[in-house]
Amino acid sequence: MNKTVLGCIVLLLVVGLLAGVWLTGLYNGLVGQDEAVKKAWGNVENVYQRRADLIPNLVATVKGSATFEQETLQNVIEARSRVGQVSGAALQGVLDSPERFAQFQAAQDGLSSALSRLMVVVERYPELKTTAAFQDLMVQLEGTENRITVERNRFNEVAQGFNTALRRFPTGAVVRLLGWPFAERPYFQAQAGAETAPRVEF
Amino acid sequence: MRPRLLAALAAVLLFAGAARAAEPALPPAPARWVFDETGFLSPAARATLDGELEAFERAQGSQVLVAIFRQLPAGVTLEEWTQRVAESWRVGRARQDDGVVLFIFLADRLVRIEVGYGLEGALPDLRASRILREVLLPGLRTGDHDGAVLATARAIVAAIRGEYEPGPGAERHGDGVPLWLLLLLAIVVLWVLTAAARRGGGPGAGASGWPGGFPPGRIGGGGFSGGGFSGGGFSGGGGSFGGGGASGRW
Repeated sequence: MNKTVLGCIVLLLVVGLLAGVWLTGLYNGLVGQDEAVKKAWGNVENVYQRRADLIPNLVATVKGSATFEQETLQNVIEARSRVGQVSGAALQGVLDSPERFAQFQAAQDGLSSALSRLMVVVERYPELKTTAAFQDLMVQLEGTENRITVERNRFNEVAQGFNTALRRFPTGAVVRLLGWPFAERPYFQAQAGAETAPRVEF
Repeated sequence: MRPRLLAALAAVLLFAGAARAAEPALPPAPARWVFDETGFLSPAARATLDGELEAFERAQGSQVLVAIFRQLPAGVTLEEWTQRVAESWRVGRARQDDGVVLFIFLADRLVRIEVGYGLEGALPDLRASRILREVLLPGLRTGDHDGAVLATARAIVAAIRGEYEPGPGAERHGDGVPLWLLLLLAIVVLWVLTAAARRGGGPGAGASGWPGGFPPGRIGGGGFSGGGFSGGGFSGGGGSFGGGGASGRW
């Protein structure tokens, strides 16, 4: 009799230990993936900041060309200031809130389209287009747009990996049951008009 | 009934496969430092350039590649494509990300220098763009293919050599403890253990030692991962690309 009770206790202990080990692994795995998402987000912020830093220079260069269309330039300046409102301290917690994430994306995409309109208009100003200063700025701006695309894609991939892990059975059930502090991360949506492959939505 | 069901399933799978295949496949990593799909360069120039880039990798560790393709696959943009190709070839060392690929697409008359994350300081976009505008594109326009490509690759190498210091740990491929230290440690431990056993020390001495000596997998494991020198030809080290570089058209 005593032996059976002892056996049961030992069995319970072993099962409890195994469950603990498994839960630890699960939790730590999610922590690692979530940190990867944050790191990818940090890179996204960096490349957007890099673009924002180029705008004052661009505005100054274009303003030097006295005849340049003021409305287009004004649009870029306004879009740049909207981006400024969603950076710095305002960026805290963007990853945790889909609404603020959408705001961030809307502001950045607004700057993208204002800039591309500027590029189109510039075609009509050959004397500006051919200056060395403007050409250098274009090279830097192109490189930055490029990096933005790369980092956005990377972020989406990492966030997708994390969200999939979070929703997969039994992880999702365990997370809800134990109230672990993990939430799905938002994605970047393809820019309007951009030919990007549709992403799987969850 | 069942065969028909299977056929339907196969059709669905095939269709899904075809939809996926609509995205062009990435080209396999080249075997040498110069990849020339069309014979754009003369054999002599190609051999010279290949030797120089191989020597540069052996001396400095950074990987610089030249890749000449017939054309850009349909439906992709230049920058997106070259970034993905360079990334998939794993050009540059892991963590240092010090790879550069010069791409030329003949039919599209497009060129691009794709710069790994780690070299964005030594070869910023502006410098890459100047190399294209001042060295490569004029040469391509006048038809001096060999001279233009050689001079461009040399300018890239010069940019890396001039400003780029191989960071600490450049020579070691594994991270952490170097191989010789592990070996030394293993020898000392073995010596202590055998000495203790010969002296007929406590019964614990035998039990706590490693019965089979130092686990051999630990010693060999740190050594040869991520290097580029294993074979005779080019092999990617695991470098990553963030879209840095510059593009041009001639």
